Amino acid sequence: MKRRKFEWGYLLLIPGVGYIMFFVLASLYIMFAQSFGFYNYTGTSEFSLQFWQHVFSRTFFDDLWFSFRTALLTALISIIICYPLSLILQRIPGRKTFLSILKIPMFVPALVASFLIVNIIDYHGVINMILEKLRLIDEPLRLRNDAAGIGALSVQIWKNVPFQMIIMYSAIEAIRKDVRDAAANLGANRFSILKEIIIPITLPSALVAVIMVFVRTFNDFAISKTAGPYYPTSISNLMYLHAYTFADWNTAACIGVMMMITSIAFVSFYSYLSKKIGN
Amino acid sequence: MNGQLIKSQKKLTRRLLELLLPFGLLSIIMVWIGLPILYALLWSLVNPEYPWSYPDLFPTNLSLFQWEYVFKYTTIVKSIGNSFFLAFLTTIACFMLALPTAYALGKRKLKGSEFFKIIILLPMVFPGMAMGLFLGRMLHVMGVSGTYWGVVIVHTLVALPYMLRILIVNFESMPQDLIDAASNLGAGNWVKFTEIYFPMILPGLVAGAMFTFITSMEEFNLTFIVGAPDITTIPTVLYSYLGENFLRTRASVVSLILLIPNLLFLIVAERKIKTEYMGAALGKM
Repeated sequence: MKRRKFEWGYLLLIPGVGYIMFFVLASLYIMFAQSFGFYNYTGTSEFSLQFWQHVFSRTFFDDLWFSFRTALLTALISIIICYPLSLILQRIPGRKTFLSILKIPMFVPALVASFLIVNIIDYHGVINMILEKLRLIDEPLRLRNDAAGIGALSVQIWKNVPFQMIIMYSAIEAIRKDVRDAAANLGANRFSILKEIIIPITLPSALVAVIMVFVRTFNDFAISKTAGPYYPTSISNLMYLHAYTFADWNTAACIGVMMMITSIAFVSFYSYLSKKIGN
Repeated sequence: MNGQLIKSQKKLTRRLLELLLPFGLLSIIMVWIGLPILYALLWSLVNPEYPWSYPDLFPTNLSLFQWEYVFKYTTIVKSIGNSFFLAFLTTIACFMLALPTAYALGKRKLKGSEFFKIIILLPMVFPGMAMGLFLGRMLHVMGVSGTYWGVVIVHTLVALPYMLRILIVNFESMPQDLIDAASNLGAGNWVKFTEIYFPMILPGLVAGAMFTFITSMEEFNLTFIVGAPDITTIPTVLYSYLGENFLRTRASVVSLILLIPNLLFLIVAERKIKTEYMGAALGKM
């Protein structure tokens, strides 16, 4: 029997994969341990379930619902904007230039995007002024830090549309032209080509785009903190408040675990979908 | 005769529509993207002697006062220095860490490569604030919280996936026959590295370095937790002017400062970076 040679290549994984695994697992470990009462800054550290009993408060569910709703609305509204936009862009001269300009918000940092949008939707911002001049509204609307979360939603949509755009545009572009031509030759009109060919083929990409934007928005801290309502805030902000303002790290850890579980659920759904697309 | 006329009229309307559509779309896009940036620019140029208030759509007088103020009396100069210094260190660290691993995953095709490629994605899906808080706790115990080392560690963690994914794609697309030919002609490992591997990973390296640099420049959550209060970067300064203590003029100056490197990156990326690297970095999470 031949002894299998040790594969030295695995040692090469240590700097890249090892670095990531070490720090991610360490923070996961500390998060789980703290949620059960270990690693306290002050007082005794012992196993306890009390933090899990108290974490599910009214505030927690309000904030969870706010993050979930903002994420879902952002993902859905963005895709509703993206689909027709990428269809139109396919047949317009100079589409390369359009795409480059459209990409700009994707490269704008979250906090800058937040300021740029807040600045124009503010109480005396240009949007309110224009609406007033057009006599569409009698008095300025409160859109920044508003209770309904329209401010945060606007920033998220502005930032995420280009991201989904790129995915959808390349998905539609990848449909071979002969497929469309064949359908047209067989007597399909534009609407039925859209319904029978383009939408079914690009649906998986659309789902992936929706899930990716959902996860990013759900975990967001900076945008909802600066443009969103003061109550309810995002789930990330609730965790931050528990840790730094109330010095209650154990409850913060419980919230972190809940966020992690939600993210993992959506990411597994994502990898399941991307495998399906691969086949 | 009449039918033909209607037909030609229909054709004309269609041609007109096809001409108008791009212009309509262009103006919508210009407003969508340009208006927020224009108003940030205008707000950064407000002259405090001539306040810009409610009924005016545009400021009556422009000056560079706000820019001078921010550069003179705030910590922005130090923060800009910090941001560039940290981004530079992060890029080097990412390159050193990513190179061997990307070689192993992209070229050697080890067993379980797919699994390791999923592990690489972890920092991209881990909720930023959660990672910041609890990793921050560990770095605090290690004694590097609030130091350059601590911030470089977390920036590297966030940016490493981009560098890894781009370099992996680069190694995967390397033609094996060229390397074999070099071996056949008697090239040693060192020659193979300098003459073949290095020139071929250069484009991926440049793309990866740009992504790493930009990621580090705009990273907020982890810098805010680990770096505060001693290490301030441009995003943390901007954060202090937003939210509950909204300072519009200063926020607009700092926003524009932070926007410049990103827009430059976009322009260069559009021209120079291959689409496959862009896809590797952005396409799949």
